[in-house]
Amino acid sequence: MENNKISIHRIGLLYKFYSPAIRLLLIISGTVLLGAYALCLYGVVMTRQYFNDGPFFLIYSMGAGIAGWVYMAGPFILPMVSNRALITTLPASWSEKCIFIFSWIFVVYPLYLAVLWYGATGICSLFTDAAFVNDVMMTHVAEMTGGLDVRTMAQSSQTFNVLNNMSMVALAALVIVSVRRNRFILGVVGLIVCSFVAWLIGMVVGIVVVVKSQFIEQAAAGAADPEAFAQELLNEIAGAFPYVGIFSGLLLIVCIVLTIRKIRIRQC
Amino acid sequence: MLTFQNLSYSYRSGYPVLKNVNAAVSPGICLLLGENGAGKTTLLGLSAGLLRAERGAVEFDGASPGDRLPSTMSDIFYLSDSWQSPFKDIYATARFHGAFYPNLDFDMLASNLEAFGLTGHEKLKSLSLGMRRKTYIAYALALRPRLLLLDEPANGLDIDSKKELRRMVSRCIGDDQTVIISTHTIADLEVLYDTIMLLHKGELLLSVSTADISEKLGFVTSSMPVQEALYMETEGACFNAIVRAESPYGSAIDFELLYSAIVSGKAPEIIEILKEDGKQ
Repeated sequence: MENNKISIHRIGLLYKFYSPAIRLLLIISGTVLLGAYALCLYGVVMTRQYFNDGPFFLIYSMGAGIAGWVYMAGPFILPMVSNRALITTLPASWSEKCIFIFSWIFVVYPLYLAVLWYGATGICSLFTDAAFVNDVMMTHVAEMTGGLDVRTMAQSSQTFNVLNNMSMVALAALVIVSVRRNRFILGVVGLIVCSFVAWLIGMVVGIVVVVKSQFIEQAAAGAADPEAFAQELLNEIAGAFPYVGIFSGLLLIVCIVLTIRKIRIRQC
Repeated sequence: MLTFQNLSYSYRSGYPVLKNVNAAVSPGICLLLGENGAGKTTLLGLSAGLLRAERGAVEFDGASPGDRLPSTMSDIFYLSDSWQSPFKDIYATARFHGAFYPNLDFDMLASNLEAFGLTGHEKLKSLSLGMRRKTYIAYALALRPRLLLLDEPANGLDIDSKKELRRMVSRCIGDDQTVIISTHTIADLEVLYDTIMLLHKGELLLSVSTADISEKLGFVTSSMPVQEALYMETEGACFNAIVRAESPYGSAIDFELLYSAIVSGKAPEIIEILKEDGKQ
């Protein structure tokens, strides 16, 4: 039937249906993100001022961490509308519901956060050159470590980071559409578990790299050129990123497929 | 037309809720009767597309609600007794949720709300159960779906509101609409029913038009036992009986008595009489 083909109008109606939840999330996440940016900026400015002194690097890291978590909040508009019967019987096809959910969590919401972050950066750059917080901090770390090329590693980890974040968001979405009760809480639990798993994988990768680079033996023997040795270690870590990236990519695909399957069956 | 063909449904535990239900419900208002656990809510859930038939089929105008196609779902609305709007008031509900229903009539919503003494701008969370129920009923009727499923609509309503509900239902329901009302308080909408479906322990014992009942059966209250009664109950000093209809004009149907007669199994001939001419 013509009426049952994927309709942009109905996807728009889904956005409208969820608009009270979307508005609430945008307000909360926007406020938190700007707060996180302020923390980062404060951390960067103070780190530059006091160089190695004080907990300012930690403040920056905390801000950056919070900003990362804000991105994960996208799927949580779904449990804000708690009436499952209402959502299941909503006159929109499962494919329209999938397009709505994935376009929201992977496009619209990240775009909003990016606009806020770079908007804040743009405005602050009128007043201070520390506004580009990540860049400044990277330069600072390079200075602190005596010219260690952290930037290249950060750049090579970018795709991995994006995939990792996307897979975590997809997992949260999967948990939320899969469970029938306590969808909000279980979504948060899913995210925490996934972060823990990511941390565990990171730790395993770190251990493998350390063992592979014979770090302990070299450190015990007293490496001839500690900076070159550290750089080599960083390169080793960067070399592991594609594998972790592949894992994150696979996890992302699995989560998306399972989420689509759940929506197709239950339309929630 | 809503049809059920050899419809069966069981819970995950294997407990059968509906057993081989066959019926066709034409446009009009249908009373769905049955004891607690008879399968009424399951039947409504299957009709609404909330549940999917395990065996057999449910079809509304040739389409299966279980497929949840937008064209079908925009013609169906199920107001369950636990239905809750996630929006702040009923007008917000109409704006955000009602946008999916092409027949939503805002004027009808406003007049329904007014009839219940509501403005529509009351915060749903702050309303009492009865007031919220009235708001949802006003909204459900204003959606004007071609299949409207109401589970205990009069639950929590005061006497005046029940009267208003009766007027509202008769005013709002069009000739092309099919309404199934599941209720235990039959008297609330008694005069409006066009058909009756009676479920008992998951089996559909009766699906018949009220016109057929009136034509074939008579409902008599007497101070003396009724000799020719097909079924009889005593209530105080009175005898309530079902007899074969003598008058071609029919008589007011005592739904509760009919329900008791059929469910008790003491009057199998009543079903036979109603089945005559293949009307069941």
